[in-house]
Amino acid sequence: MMVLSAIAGSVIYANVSVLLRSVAPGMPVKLPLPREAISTFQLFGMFATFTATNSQFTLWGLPRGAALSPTNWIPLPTDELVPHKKGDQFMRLRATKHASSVNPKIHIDAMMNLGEKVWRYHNRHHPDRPISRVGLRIDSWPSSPHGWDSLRNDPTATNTLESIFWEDLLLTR
Amino acid sequence: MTATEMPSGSEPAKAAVPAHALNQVRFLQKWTTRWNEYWFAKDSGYAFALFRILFGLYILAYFLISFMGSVTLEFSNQGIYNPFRIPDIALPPVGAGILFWFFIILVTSFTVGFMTRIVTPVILALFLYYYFLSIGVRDCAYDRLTILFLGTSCLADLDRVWSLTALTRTPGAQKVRVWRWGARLMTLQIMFLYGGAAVFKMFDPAWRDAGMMKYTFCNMWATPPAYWFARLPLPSWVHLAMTIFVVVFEFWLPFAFAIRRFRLWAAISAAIFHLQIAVLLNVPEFLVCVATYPLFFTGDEVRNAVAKILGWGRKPSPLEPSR
Repeated sequence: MMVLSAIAGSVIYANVSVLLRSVAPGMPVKLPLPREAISTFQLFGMFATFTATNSQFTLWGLPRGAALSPTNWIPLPTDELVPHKKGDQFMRLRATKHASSVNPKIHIDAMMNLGEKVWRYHNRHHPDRPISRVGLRIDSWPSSPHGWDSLRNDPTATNTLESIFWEDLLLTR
Repeated sequence: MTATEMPSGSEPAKAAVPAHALNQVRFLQKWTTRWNEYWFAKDSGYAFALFRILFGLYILAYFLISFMGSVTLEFSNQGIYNPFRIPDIALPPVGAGILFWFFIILVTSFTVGFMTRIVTPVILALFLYYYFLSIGVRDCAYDRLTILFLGTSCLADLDRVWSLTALTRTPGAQKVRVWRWGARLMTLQIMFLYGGAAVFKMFDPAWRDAGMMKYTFCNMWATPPAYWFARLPLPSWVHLAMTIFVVVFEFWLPFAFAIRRFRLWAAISAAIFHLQIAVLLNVPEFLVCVATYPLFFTGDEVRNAVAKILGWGRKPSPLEPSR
């Protein structure tokens, strides 16, 4: 009974602490809680904000022997490599859990790890067309009620396509 | 002053302790009793049994639908995944496949209530392995809820009735009443989830903007029905009203679950709310919350409701002892 009561009391305390931190972040006195416990009990943040922009990550590879030029990169089948629904795929390729770490090196290491795994997987399955580098690109375009892709390549829309190659962060061989 | 120094005729114990200290002790005793009555009240095992079945089915559906076709990619050392806080200890593809199906068998065993006491900690350990190896990278609340529920399940009596284990027990053993502790903890967590979400949204400026609902229905989570809804020529005040409704509804839920007369309505409306999220935003994983709803009711209420739905009437079910 004592142990179960202690567990129950701890869960209540953790929830109250996290709730107070969320609604009053500027509060001078906080109920102390380990960082891991905060992220465990921070359960109500989904869809907490919105954006009028759609974003999607895609994986790219630089063929082995090709010069490091933007025109030489080839698209990798992102939907086959990360076969999940759009939101899920985005959060995996962003390494959301690692991105929320205090130490930015954890996120950088996660992206390097992702690049290495993609590189190994591609070259294992396509030994005839190996790649030497892996890139991650994020495309952003205005969202529209007419469909996910409807304004993706619309030249009249502003900021239709914004591309970032992260080859320097990812594995380079 | 000690009892031996008391004038004759006085009551030594009462006189020795100051009145305010006695009041404090009584206050403490009263709240300790209330605490114990709340957490350790006894109940028949039917609410836990229905929770076990729904929760087991949820984990089965989650893993089979999400990962069955991508075990090698998701959980093997030849896949594409990002471990968090643990070394990269993924198994080779064959081993990962065997482990995956072993996990499915364990969850099936949990669902039908076979050796639940033994398999639940193993399921928790394997779920944690999958979480830290691969699926935790998304940092999704429903995975953490599942871990909390599994952890609580390890300490709860889930297979007292409506289980294969119960079939091997004597009828008397099935009538043993179980502590409500696990039910209290999981339902309290659910109430914090809804209440916390509401309070969080009240303080978040984004939830005072009509754009929240409008753009949520055309973001990366949105489904074709959500896009269809977003295309409806509705004035912006409708979107704002929907946004406010969500906040008010989530704020109402913990109170409604706490008050007996509203409890059934809370369970039905919250289940519809999660179904709506599954249909419009493609996040059926939050249906894990629905598995805990039987725990808001007493075991006998659950037993009677299920008997009514399945037409058992007053007869005992095939899985329970005669009364």
